Amino acid sequence: MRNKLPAFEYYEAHSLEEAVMMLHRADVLARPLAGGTDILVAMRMKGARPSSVVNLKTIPGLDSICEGSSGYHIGPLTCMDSVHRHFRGVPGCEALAQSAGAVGSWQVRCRATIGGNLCNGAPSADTAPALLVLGAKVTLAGPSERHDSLSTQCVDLDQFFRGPGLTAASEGRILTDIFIPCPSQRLKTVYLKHSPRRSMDIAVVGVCAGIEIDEAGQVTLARIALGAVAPTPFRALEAGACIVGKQLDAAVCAEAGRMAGAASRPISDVRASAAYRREMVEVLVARALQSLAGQEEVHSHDK
Amino acid sequence: MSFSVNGQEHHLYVAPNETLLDVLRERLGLTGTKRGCDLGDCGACTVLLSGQPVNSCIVLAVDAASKEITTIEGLTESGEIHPLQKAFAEYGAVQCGFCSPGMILVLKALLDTNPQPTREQVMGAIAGNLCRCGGYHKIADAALAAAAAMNGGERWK
Amino acid sequence: MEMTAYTSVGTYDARVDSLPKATGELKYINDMCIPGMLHAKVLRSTEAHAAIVKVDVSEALAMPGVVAAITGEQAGFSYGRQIEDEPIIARGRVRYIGEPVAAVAAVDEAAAEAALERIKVNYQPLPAIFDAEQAAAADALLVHPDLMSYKRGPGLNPGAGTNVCNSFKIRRGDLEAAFAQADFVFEHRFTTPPIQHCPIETCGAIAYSEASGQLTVWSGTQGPHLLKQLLCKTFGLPGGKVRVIQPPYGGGFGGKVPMHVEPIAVALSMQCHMPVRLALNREEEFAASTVRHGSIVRVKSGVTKDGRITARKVDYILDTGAYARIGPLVLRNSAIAATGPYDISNVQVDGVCVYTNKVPAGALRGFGTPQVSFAYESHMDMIAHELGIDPVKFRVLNIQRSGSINGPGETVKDIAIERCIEEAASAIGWGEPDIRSSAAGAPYLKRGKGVASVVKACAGPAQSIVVVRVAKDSSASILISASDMGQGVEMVVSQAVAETLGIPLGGIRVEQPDTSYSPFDELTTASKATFHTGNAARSAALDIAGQLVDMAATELGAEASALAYSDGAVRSADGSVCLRIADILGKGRYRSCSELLGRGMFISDYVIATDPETGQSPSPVAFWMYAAQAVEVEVDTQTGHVRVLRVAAAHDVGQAITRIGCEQQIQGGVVFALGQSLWEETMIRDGRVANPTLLDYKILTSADTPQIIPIIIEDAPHPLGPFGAKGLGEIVTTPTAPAVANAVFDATGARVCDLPLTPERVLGAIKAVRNGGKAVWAVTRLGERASMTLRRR
Repeated sequence: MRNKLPAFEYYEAHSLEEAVMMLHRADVLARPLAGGTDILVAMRMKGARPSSVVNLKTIPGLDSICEGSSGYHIGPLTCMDSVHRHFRGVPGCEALAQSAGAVGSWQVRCRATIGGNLCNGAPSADTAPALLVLGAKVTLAGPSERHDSLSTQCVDLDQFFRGPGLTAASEGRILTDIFIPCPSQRLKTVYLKHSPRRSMDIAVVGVCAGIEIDEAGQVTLARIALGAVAPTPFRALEAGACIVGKQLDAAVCAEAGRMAGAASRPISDVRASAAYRREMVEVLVARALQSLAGQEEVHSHDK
Repeated sequence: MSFSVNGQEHHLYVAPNETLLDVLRERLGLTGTKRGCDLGDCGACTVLLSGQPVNSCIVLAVDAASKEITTIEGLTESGEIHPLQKAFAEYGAVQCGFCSPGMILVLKALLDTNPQPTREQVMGAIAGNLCRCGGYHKIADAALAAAAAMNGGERWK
Repeated sequence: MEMTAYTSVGTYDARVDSLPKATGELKYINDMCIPGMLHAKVLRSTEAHAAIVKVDVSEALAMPGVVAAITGEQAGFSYGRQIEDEPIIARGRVRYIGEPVAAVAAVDEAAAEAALERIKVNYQPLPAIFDAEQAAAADALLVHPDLMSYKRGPGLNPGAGTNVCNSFKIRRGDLEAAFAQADFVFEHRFTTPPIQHCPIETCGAIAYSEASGQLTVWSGTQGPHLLKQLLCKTFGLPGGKVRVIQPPYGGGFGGKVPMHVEPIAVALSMQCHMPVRLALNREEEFAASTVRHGSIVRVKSGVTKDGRITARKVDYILDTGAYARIGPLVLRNSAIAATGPYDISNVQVDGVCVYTNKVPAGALRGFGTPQVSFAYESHMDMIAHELGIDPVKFRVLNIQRSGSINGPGETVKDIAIERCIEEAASAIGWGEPDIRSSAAGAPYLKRGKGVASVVKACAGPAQSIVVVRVAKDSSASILISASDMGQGVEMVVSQAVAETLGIPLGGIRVEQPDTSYSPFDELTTASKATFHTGNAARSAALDIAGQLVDMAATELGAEASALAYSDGAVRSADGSVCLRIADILGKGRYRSCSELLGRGMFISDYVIATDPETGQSPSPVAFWMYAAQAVEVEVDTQTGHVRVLRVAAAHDVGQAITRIGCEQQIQGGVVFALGQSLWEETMIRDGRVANPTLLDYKILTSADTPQIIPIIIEDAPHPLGPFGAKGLGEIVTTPTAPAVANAVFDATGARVCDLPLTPERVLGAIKAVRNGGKAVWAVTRLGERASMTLRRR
């Protein structure tokens, strides 16, 4: 690791247009700066040497959460601590509050942003599975073809992740909005993070589940998303689909766990082996579903 | 850039690759903010940035422009030692002391927003501050005692 | 027992050194800055084992701001307290990834870091050896082919043509006959990984070699006087030219035992005659400083059917990495404790300390005992389980009592280990009806309890000298060279002086060690400071008291023998004389006398070296420490996650001096050891430390910390300890891991014989039990099975 950060040019953007221009005027090694909790570590420890850094926090209006009739607009520069506090107790969004609260330490959560968490492209990003389950859409701003104005596009979050460290925002585009459609009255969500420590840790496996159950006890909607078990966070579609129309008993939950495990493509590293990660997906998906079905309190040290 | 540290305005030329920790320690001589890991993993360099606890080793100094910063030196107002500092000494919360300034600042942020925390809330708040000498419980004892003292009540163990 | 009434010793007074730390005002070593100071950076080997063909620093030297640059050829010296095997900077060959290959000093860190990128090194890679068992084999690849030609200290047994830098053995009784007669013989194998000190402040030093020949070194070192001696020896300097100043520093745990950063800073400063600072960054602290020895330990015991252990054999390997450092002594210290705190008539211990191409190992809180105690205390539970005896009863049945003979042959006395076991067990409700599952009733959460009892020696012999100055206003200044790295020796000596002279604690100052005026203490290690430096402080205060008595006698024209110092005054037996310090100094004949100087010395000179063939001695160590801990855990049997619910830690301290300090050391030591029980492991992959951050090397956070119940046992004061005190710092870290492993077994029936008890490893063991019925397997991360044999006659 380096004691001193390598030198770079520093720019402060005051508007999205300016930010996009700065990122493009500079060469490909320009990096946007949000909370900085990942990029500064990458520069010190992992050899990242951006030629320039464009601070996005000087752009007004990107760090707040607005509640509209159709859903929530979360500014990408909203820090994890704010996300955690805002969504705590919001029906349907429990998992988002849990996952934002599960990031690093309080100091890190006061700095790290939800947009940074997504754009960093880490497979283990805590908020990604929750946002996937909530059906989040993200808006990206980039240069228009003639580079004279902004072009924006809105994509589903599951189209956003491309690979480890790679997202739809990787090439000079800026995440400008994270939209969560209003969760239905019946939606319940939960995020289970498996890591040795209760705090200050990276997810060995992150599991988020969201379900809606009708009066008859039948599942009418089920979404399962996984972190740290594939090159990107992703939705385990088949595992979700297999429980729709069923009563959530232990066997059904276990079957969904097995399907989610089968959909995982984990790696082995210092944190865990691939086999262990896959097995934890099975266990935690089943556990998450059972807890949502109200059959059992969740026993994860990081709920 | 200019920023305010412990109520004092500073106007400095700062290079983009200097961290807030670098500037506090090496430019302003505020060595109460400790360098533990430089990676945001240990909390020894915690300061309050606009009242919020942050690891100053992973904040660019330029990013703190026109903000208010509180370091451990700022807690001793006009010679008066902060109740948290007093309680740390009295309740055995200090051993080698290298983690103490960061711990105290996080706890100040906690007590500023939650003047009567539970032990569990205290232990949760300092989870990003590693201590290798002690067992964390005496730090929680001190924080709870300081909270009680600040609320005008009796200190309790 | 009779309680001695003390006024300062044993009280709950706050530590004298805390406030300047809480205010941030105290300047630590890495806070210091000296005018003109340069910053050093070290280029480190990227090869685990290679011949160095060429190191070229010329381009680095030409960089702006670079003032000095050195290579191994220029640094030129080898050092090593036990074996002189380690060059300051690698010469000819590198033996681990992280070994210094060159160093530069520049006007700032950025310039120094930029210069490192311009140093050219050509390596010719050599085959490397990483596995300690392979390294211990007869035909192993050699890390030090010239081992036998190195200078070494007395009493070491390196193996010619091997990687063995030292071996140690203990022989007592007739082992084979005892095994043959035993009703049962059990043998198990255990491993522990290399672990880290993780001081929150990394190692740092500043060296200033003046052109006139004076060398001053400021270092966060656990041994300023030893560092001075080693620097004199390494650089061929006379003692009068070297001064070591030890500023405050942030945690030691054995990792700051001299020397490692200092000689590079000195060599650079000698080249440019400017002050040079070398402070490690966090990655260097992990990958290129010192670790605890990884171990492989086999324990074999012969037991009667009613549960008495009649014979024990321990064979073990300690992995010292690329250089011996203090490994040979770690080996000895673990060997003398390897049979545990039990009364066993026939014992045999064979330990070897071997080189591998990994980051060197050295002293780390416990000094070899945590490795063997994890083995023998897990083994004890495995036997108790097989015999169907309660683990607490099985331990008490075999525990040492006054008159028992321990491993190295000493007849022990004044010990309270039996009470420690009982108190610890009872504090967590041992034997009470268990709540086997979580209160919430999740069927996959299982609870269990475990216990462990252990022993550790403070080896000695060692010498401590203390100087005390007392002024007429009853204030005092204490000069020591024992180093307060957070453990609280400053408070201990303050209380010893306050108690002896009856002066207020608030008026006592303890000066930072400086070899130019602080009296000798070799090192602050081995839990020795309270015992040795505390004794010397008490003697120094008694020296002052004696002087006051003589002065009062002269002043009064009385016989000194008719007077005595007690309760803060010189008194006569009939009570007619009562002269306090202020009544003697500055008064009458002593009107111009403002201050007295007292000196005290303690040497544990009663230590007798162990016999080289049998490891036996009637007095092998300065003193023994005993402790027992009991742990309750909750295991998630689907994920393998172990949650520690509470820990009761009972410690035979003799007499608590700083009561709050004892609690700090117990609670802190338990948290330290819980990390090592659950998660801590230096993962070395092909010689490279794969987890060199505090994120991936996981020590406990506050959020993971369970209830910890400190139990201070003062039943058995040590006859030679100051006020009866024994040591404490290291023994706390010794019983925790086996107690946790035993509790996991109690909860799940799964036995893990390899530390740490990571979720993945615990789950593997649980699944093995599930699949194989009663069979108990330890599953390592790599999936290989540790051997376990059980032989019934």
